[in-house]
Amino acid sequence: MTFEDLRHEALRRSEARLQALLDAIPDLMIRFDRDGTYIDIAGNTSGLVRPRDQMIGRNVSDFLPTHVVERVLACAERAIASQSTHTLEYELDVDGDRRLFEARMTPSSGDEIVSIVRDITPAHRLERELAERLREVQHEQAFTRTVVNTAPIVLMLCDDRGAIIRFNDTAERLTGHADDERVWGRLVSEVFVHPDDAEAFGASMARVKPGRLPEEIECRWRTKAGDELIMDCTINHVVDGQGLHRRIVAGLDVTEREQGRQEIVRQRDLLGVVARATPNLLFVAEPDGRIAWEGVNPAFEDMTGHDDSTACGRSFWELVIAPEDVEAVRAEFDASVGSGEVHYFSAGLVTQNGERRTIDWSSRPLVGLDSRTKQLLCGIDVTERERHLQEIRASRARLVEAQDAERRRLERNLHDGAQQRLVSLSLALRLAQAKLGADPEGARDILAAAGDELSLALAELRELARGIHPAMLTDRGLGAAVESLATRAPVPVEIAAMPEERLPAAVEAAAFYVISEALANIGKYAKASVARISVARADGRAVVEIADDGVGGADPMRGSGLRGLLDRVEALDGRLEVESPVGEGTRIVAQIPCSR
Amino acid sequence: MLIVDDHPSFRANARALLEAEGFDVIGEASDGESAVQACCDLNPDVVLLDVQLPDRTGFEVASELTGNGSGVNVVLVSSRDGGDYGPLVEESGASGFVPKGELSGARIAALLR
Repeated sequence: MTFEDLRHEALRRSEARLQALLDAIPDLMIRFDRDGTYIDIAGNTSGLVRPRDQMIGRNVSDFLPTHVVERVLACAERAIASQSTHTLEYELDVDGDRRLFEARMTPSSGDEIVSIVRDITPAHRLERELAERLREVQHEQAFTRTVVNTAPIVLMLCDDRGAIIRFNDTAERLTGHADDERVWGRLVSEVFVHPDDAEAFGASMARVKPGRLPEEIECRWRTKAGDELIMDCTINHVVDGQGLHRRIVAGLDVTEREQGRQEIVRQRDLLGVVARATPNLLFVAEPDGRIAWEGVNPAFEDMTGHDDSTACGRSFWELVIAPEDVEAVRAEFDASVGSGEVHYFSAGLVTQNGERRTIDWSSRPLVGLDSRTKQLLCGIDVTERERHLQEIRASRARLVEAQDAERRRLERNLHDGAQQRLVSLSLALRLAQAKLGADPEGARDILAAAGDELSLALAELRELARGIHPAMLTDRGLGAAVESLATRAPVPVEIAAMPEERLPAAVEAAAFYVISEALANIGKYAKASVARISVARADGRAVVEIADDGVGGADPMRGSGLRGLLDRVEALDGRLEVESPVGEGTRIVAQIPCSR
Repeated sequence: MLIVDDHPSFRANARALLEAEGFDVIGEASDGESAVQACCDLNPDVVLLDVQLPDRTGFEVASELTGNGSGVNVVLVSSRDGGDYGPLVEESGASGFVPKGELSGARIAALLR
């Protein structure tokens, strides 16, 4: 084989390779000259508007729309002029389908152009879809960013050690720390969490692992300014966009809620303490009267003998209210339930051991611990008060009775004494007058007798007046009045002490009558040989003491004399004590406040 | 006349006054029981009877004396005013009432007419 043959053989093989290469290229290759005449068409001809053979030798203007032809020829001109590849995109209707083509035009030999035409419709559509998707993603990101930064919750991205990567605007606003390089890389527990809670927070952070439930921890945080926050935090595992394992901390500021809750707890504790400490009876009842599960307080237990175990679930009127008061109590209780208003009533209470007390109750609607409307019943034990009131009423009645008796006594004394003498005197004077003419001697005798009668009447009136209120007491005070009393007493009287200054008039009068009555009693019953009297002022009170060496056995509750003295002394808020052991004499001590 | 009163000085003065004015005082009594007894024993025409006696009221005694058909005249006396007793005087059957301070033969005679 000659060298020429070898060259031709090599050229033929090269052409064959080129042809194979051309056949292998999936694009359409068109060779045309400067004026647009097709010279050759190769490659993927499936997208041609006509069969290849019909097109070769004809012009682009025979097949393509004018505006496309103009652009194709212009692009070819630019490629030839610049001797470089120029690209053109154009649209054509192919079998009723609008498709986009890309033509890459490269100048070949002379005025020829080789154009590689590619249908880029799918790529272009894909590109458009990608652009659309990208816009959506960008919108989504913007939305997420807005949500993250405006949500009232702290969101913080950390690495798997708990070091800060970034956090949201809410965290910035709440803590005062800016989301920048001053905090990035530092531990959340070190920057934000209160030192006392940092260890617990760090431990929670460390427990967070993929596949585990999120960690929840309520802990104190501290702002940059040093204020304390209470944060309800959830720490979760998350994988970021780059596939790295991260931690996300979501924190809700519950400072106010927690403070409110703590305040409620404090108030409830305080109410609990009050309920336990109060001497008033307290319990909560259902609207039907059964004692609710909230139960009864210690004061109720102490008084009635019923605790929660025996009281809860039973109607309180069956449990403790005196049978005769049950109907009235139920009516008041039902009225309070029905009206939602507080009702007050008084009722007898019977304790577990049968003791009876008098209680003033209030029935007040309240919302129970389980949020249902119930009744709070509060009872005050007024037994002693009622007893005192009854004593005071009885004492008043006795004082009035004693006054009436005294008036009757006075009337009787006046009637029997001075009045009778004056009646007799009147008759005697008229008799004397009648006798004056005929029997002057007889008249003189009658007048003499009348004079004696008059002296006796005057003496009786003086005595009577002294009994009503001794003038000496008013004029000269207790000491002189008691001395006068002593001189007329049925037994020798020793006056051991007497205040030098005057006491209030009511106190002097009470002291005088105590002494007077005591001396009268000594005369009537004591069979004493001596009585001893002392009146002293001590601690703002007058202390009056009368003692005798008689037979004793006096009972202040028996007989009106001592009882009357007791009333008189108690009316001045004083106290009267009587010690009278049989055979050992009697000692009466009255203590009467002087500062009224 | 029978004078009934628990005060001896009144009885003495009344007796002296009424006798001086012509009454014949035939007896005295100091309480209700003895007055009823003396009335039976002495059968007086007039009884001068105190309202306040130690054992019974003068009204009770007057009722008894005037209710037994003896026809005795009872004149009630008291140191109180007659107005204090209201209709009791009349209801007791007594002839009338004279305050003790105004006692005289003429007042009694006026009631007996």
